[in-house]
Amino acid sequence: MLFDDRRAFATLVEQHQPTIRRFFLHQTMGDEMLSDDLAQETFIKLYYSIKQFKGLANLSTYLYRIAYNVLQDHLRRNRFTHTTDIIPECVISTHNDTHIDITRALQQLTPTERAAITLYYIDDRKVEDVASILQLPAGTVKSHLSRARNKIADFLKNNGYE
Amino acid sequence: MNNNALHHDEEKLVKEFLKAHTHEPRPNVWFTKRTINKLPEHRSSTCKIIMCITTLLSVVACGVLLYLLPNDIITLDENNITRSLLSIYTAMAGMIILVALQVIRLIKTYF
Repeated sequence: MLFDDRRAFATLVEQHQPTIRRFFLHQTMGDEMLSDDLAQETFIKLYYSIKQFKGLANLSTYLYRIAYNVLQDHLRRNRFTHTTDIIPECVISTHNDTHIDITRALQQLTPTERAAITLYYIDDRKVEDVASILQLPAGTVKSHLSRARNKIADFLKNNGYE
Repeated sequence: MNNNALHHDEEKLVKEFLKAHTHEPRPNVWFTKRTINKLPEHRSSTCKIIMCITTLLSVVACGVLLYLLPNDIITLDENNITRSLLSIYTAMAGMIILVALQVIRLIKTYF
């Protein structure tokens, strides 16, 4: 694929944007504007770094890795101002109670646990893929997943779910 | 074996539950267009070479003008001095703007 060809790149963006936007949506507690900004930053970084992509990994894994790095940068930049205690108004007004409870349950997790849960359970990635995206050993990813699962289960039980 | 099956079922249930109850982003038809618009301006390598040569020539021409022209003014008639000075300074200002633009473009392209 010729990446100087903007039309081809546009096709690639069109193909992958729903999953990348969804990934960021879960990491930002449903903040759609912020998610779109971070997703855009991810695709621009992909455009610059596509020549380094040697095809050893799946393109979507490579894209997720860039997305995770963009997220890490964002969290670092906003570590003093960013708060994950607030769920954006748009989420509260447009979604039902279960959606909000899941968002609140995801809030209980650390950013790494949240990313692991999103990638594994919602985006259907394998543990090896998640490990490659988060740049962690597979065993560590499994412990993150187990800890996150327990936290979510506890939160939901405490909020009246069976 | 039973434990594994139970664990597998549990995983499946968690997956289904989370998928069903997490929110999806609303379709954004402008997303791709906006992303493409934010990409850097594309320049071919020929274009970059031409840009470098133009910048170099502009810098040399500007240097030559600055060095030679003030000496030529002395040889002109007294009446023509003001007009010549004005045109020389306009030309020099043009050159300086051209060089500045090229330098800004180069910086934007490479850094």
